[in-house]
Amino acid sequence: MEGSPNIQMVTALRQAAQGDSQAFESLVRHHQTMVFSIAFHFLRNRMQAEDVAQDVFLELFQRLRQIQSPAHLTFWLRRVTVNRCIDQTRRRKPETALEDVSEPRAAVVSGDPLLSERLQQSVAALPDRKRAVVILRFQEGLDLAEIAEVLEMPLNTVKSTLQRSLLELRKKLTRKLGEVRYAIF
Amino acid sequence: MPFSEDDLREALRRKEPSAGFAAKVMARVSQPPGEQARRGVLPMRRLMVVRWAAAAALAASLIAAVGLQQYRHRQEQVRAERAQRQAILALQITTEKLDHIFHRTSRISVPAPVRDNGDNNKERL
Repeated sequence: MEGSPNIQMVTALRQAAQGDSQAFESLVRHHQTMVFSIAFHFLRNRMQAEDVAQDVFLELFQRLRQIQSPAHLTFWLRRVTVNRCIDQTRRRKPETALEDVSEPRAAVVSGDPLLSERLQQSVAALPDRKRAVVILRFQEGLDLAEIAEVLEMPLNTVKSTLQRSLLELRKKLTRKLGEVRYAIF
Repeated sequence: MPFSEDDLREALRRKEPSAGFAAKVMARVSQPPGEQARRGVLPMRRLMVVRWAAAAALAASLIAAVGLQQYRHRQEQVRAERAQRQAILALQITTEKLDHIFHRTSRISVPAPVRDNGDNNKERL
């Protein structure tokens, strides 16, 4: 495909809606990292995250005609992924998969890996809505208004939820690292 | 330890799905709608069904093992009771036989012993 990425996406979207499977596959490849990452950070389980991501793309395939633009597609994927993750966590108990012990594709780790691991664990332990807000804010880099739109929450609620979530994360992290220090010394 | 928003961004940076992810999605998309659902939402449910079936099979085999054990125990009890009854019967028969022998022997009269007072010796002289 030629042209700017946005034009490519518009074309792919139109062709996919007309039944072009290659165009649909290009949409999947373009958005798979985003969808999978939201699910993975939400569920902290690669297998469940891939299941959810597959289901999201399957639903997209069935509703392609409702998608109006690439921006709408990204918005729709984020909303559906978060909603499916929330459903998933309500249906199932959290499981620790063997794959979560080490992340094969995350070989390049900048910063403090211990801190990153603790942060991921603490985010995954947040209640559903708080977790969704934190992931959309810090993984997807959405601003508060965009998060409010995706999660269908009032803007002020998103603001307060984010503040409370960060406070909770700091408390949890201090407690966890305190326990580590206590165990070491 | 305090953390910055950059630390959080770093911790929550995007991750790649497995290598064949798009191919898996396309494989599901190319299937009829019924199959799509069965492969999509249901693998976990299937897993649950398999787990429940395994648990049920385990429970059934445990119950069968306990039942078999109890059956064997009961059979042994029955055999022991039968042996006990036979032993008692044998003792009763023996007792009756001994009684019978005792009565018969007591009925036979024993002759009185002959008294030797010396008269016979006088006649002989």
